[in-house]
Amino acid sequence: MKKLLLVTALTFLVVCVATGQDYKVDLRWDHYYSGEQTEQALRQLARAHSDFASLSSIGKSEEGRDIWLLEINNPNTGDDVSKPGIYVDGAIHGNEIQATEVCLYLAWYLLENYDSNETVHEIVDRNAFYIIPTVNVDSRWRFFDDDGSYNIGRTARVPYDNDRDGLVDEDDYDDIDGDGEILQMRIKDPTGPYKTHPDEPRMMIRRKPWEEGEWRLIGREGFDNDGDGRINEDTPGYLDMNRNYGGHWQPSYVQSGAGDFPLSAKPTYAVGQFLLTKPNISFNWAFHNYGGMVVRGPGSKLDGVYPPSDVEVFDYLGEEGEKILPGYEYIIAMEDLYTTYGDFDGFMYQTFGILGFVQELHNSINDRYRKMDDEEWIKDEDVPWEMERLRFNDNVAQGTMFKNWTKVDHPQLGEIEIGGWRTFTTRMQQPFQLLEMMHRNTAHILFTAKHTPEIGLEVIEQESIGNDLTRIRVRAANKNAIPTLSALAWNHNLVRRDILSIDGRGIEVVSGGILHDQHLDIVEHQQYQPDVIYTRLPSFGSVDVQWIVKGSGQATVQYQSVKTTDEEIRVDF
Amino acid sequence: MRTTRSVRSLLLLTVVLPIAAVGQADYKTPEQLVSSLHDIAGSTRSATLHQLGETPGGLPLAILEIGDQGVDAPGILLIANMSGDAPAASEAALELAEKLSKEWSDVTRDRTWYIYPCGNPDGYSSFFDTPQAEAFRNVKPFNDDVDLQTDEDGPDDLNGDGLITMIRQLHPEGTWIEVEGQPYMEIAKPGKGENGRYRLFPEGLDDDGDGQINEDGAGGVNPGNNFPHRFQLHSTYAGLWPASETESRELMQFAFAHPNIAMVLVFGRSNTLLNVPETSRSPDLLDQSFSVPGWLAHRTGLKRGKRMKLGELLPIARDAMERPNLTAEKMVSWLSDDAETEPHPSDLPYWNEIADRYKTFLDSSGVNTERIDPPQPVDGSVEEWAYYQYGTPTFALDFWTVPMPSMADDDSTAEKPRGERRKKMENRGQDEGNSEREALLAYRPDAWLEWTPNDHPSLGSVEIGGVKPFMNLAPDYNEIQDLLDAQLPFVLELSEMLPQIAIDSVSVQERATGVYVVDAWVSNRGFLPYPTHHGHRTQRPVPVAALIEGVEVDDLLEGHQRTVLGLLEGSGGTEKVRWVVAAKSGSKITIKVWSRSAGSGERVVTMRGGQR
Repeated sequence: MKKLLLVTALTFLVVCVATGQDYKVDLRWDHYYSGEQTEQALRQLARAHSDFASLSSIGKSEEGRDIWLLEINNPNTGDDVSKPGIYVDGAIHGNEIQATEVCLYLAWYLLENYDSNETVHEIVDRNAFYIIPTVNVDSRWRFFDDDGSYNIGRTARVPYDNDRDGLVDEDDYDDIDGDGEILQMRIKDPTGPYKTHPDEPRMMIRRKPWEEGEWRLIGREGFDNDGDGRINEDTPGYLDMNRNYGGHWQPSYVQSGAGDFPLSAKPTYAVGQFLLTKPNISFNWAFHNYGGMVVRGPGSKLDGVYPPSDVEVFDYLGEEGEKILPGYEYIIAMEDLYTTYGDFDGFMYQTFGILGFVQELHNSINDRYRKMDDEEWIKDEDVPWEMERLRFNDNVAQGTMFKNWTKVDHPQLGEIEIGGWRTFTTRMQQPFQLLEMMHRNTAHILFTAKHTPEIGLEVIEQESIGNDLTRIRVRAANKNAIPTLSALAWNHNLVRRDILSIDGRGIEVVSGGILHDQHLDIVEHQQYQPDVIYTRLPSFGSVDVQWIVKGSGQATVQYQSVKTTDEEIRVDF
Repeated sequence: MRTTRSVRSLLLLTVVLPIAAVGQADYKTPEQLVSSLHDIAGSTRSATLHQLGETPGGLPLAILEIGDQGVDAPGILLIANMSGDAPAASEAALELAEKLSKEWSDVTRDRTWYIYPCGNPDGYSSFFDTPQAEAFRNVKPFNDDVDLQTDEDGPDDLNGDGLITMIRQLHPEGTWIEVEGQPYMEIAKPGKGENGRYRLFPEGLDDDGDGQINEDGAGGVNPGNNFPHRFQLHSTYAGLWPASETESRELMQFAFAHPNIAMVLVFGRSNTLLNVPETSRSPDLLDQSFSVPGWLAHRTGLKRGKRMKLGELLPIARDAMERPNLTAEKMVSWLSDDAETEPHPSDLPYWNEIADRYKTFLDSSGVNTERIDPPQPVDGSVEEWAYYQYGTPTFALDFWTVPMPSMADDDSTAEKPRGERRKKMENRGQDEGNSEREALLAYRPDAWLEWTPNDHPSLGSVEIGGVKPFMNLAPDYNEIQDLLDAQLPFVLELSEMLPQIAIDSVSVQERATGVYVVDAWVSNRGFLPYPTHHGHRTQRPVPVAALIEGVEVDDLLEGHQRTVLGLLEGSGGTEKVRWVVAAKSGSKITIKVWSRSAGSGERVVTMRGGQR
């Protein structure tokens, strides 16, 4: 399997997709990229699009691998930090493979379609993109290079004593049959809880209590390496980097996998340090597998109640995502999944006030094998899901997904059988299904990029009121769904406030403040520095300001925000 | 960056007349503390200096290691002045380092000491800066008021006396009043018919013209609040996230890289032996209640969110998950419930006993024990982190607070039990604030600067005065030596209390010809348990293991080559480990006990019937 993937990848066939368009970089999208191939693809993209794309390492992992950042910005429309930033990362869990492919596809799609697609052109001109395709570089590399399984490689490569015996990482998996994969082991046992399915010999089902058993499952391939009577009980690592971020981090006796302290892993620390340099980030994405979910916080009760106006933004972008990604559900982590502390999206929101989603790629719809009109398919328990997947394996994937049970002599257990779902299955779709998944997820990211804050400024009233005084009322409006500052950021002073100011020669601002009601003339006058008003622009919202100005001349009214491009207009008095 | 604060202040200074500031000249600056550590390291065979990086202000962070056996001996980590507000604590740490390198070098043979004399050099520099101000955040830029500028409005020494005190202004909106015959001011109590007259401000200018004074001074974060236990998210001083600061992060990294550390001592302002925390926690984890999480509800049919005792939940979970050996500790880590914030009740008897010994020691050492109560540990403190997360026995000591005034005028001068006078003081004052002010006045009659007129650029006619910085944070330097001589030796007593794991005895009995039952009793001869009961809950301290060597796996009829032991209580807590081995009569096997921070032991026994 591994070798096959490598060969297909290295050919990089120049195949042009439906449009027949020529691309500067032709990447294959029916293929999973190994660590090395990911680096190669990123280098190719950065080289071919050096005007917009730059590749840099934000730091090194525990095993010394670079964590790559691809930054996409059109310098002709300004520095990246002057525009709304979209942060996208993937594979913080190293075995959640296709997250990296989504990131690669996003980068490729933006860069290759800038010239030909008007929508992409506008999105790229108005935003900066920060893409870290693989956060957990060590485990992704090992997923491809070591003996693998879809369930191996969630952890950072930080030594950890999983079985609390005072030894560290001493009982790893072992590829007993030498096929390069760590699959399931089973042993004949009349007291075992499983028996062979009468219609499908590859499948096991639970026996009835009064029936004789046939099989006992004994975990993934491995030996008892340390003589403690247990198999694979202390595999390398267990630090879950998506429980290692700040915010409401909790220690590992409360949150399994938390690590010694927040951002104790090298990749999470590198990401944390990088984030400090990009205050312009307006929205963040973290890609995972699996389940087909658009997930938002809160992750735990410690996150408290999210401000309602922020929830409205999550809902607007999340519900739209359910339509862009049929089969995906928009859910709340703590309520619909489980409690997590120290996760990335909670960190982004609680520390920097930045909204974002965790996207869980791939759901069971991908492996379906039945007629389309059967709407109740997922609830139909008459046909076991496992059996349906085996049909899918046989008649769609041509047998590449499941390895038949094979007898092997285990030095400690005697005769056993090894087989089951292979490495690139279960949490992943088959390669031929990747393109649509990547494109639809990219489309969801682009939808949020269309909704990063954009400022509009207009004078809504200007009137001379005698004594060389002019009353001017200005409206600053956000045309899009994502606020300049989230309500949480505003409530807790997490980000520099926006500034709506007026400045000009020959004029003096004698009074100013937020205009709460244009019709009833309700103004919240600001005692000090009335020419500089601190504020924020909510989702699709606006703020009105009134100034009373003495004198005449030309003035500049300016709206400055950390989160988006500043805007200004000129006003004559 | 570090110079910003002092440079700006210097520019504004017209006359520099440092008056009656606490004697900074004699206390060692953060730089001097590190260079003293260098000197000790250079002249002591068993000492090494570890550089932990630099503060945002460019000051070095250093830990001195003293001990003959390095990481092979149990370690004691001493962290001083983590909040930068405890000058005596840094002096005590340095004094301890010097003593360990000379007259106390005996206790460095089988103990390794790690001494961090100042955890917050940037903040502590404020003690030595001119003007002197109580400003303990590091100098990492921080935009407190989230406006256009960062660190643009710090204190200014308006009267040029080298001290940052207070401004008062007669104002219709004033809420403060003078107290007759006293230098300090109080908030007017309208309910008592009082009407406020003054507004109070910290000494400074409205540098950025926003109507506020000193609302965005230099820095930053106080690393003493940056540890992950009870971290205050969204505060202006604790940091963006726990462990965000070099000072705290590097220290934690050092601690985790030294699993031989068996005890943490914290010298600062809190004192957890004078104020032993109380607890309402149940001693048995199984008696604690948790919410049923969704995943468990899904597998068991229990109601999600229902509060259940772990004792009820655990057997259900073991059954549903087919993990009969699932431990209570592991289960709890999946329940994602609350972190503990009170000590484990079974740790408290040890803690209270040590506190009693400490008080007895203080009473016999001649040091004045009638003093203002030390404050509780702060949010995100290192001392709470060390007990609650790092999982080691941890004791915080302070060396000085303002002494209670002498009660010579009192009707009785007879000996009274400790704390009596303090209680009396508190009764006399209306609240603790009053008694602290009275005590400070008695100790330092000049602690308050007399109010003198000043012309303030934005406030107009004002007065400058009020309490001077550091008055209640540091004793006069000439008292330091006596304070340390009297109190520091207790650290040696603490260092004798470490757990000490050993093989108590081994018995060999022949069960059948060539089959022997080997029983080993492993015990803890130290005073403290290993690990602490809370440390056991955290699963952080490396467990003790018993090993059998000289027996092939196939000859081990019962037991494992490596057996992990549970918690061993102090003063002789014992666990039996049993092996049944097939061996030739007269052959020898080795029993070893192993730990990372509590010692080890070894016995060779001969397979022979009835031997003990």
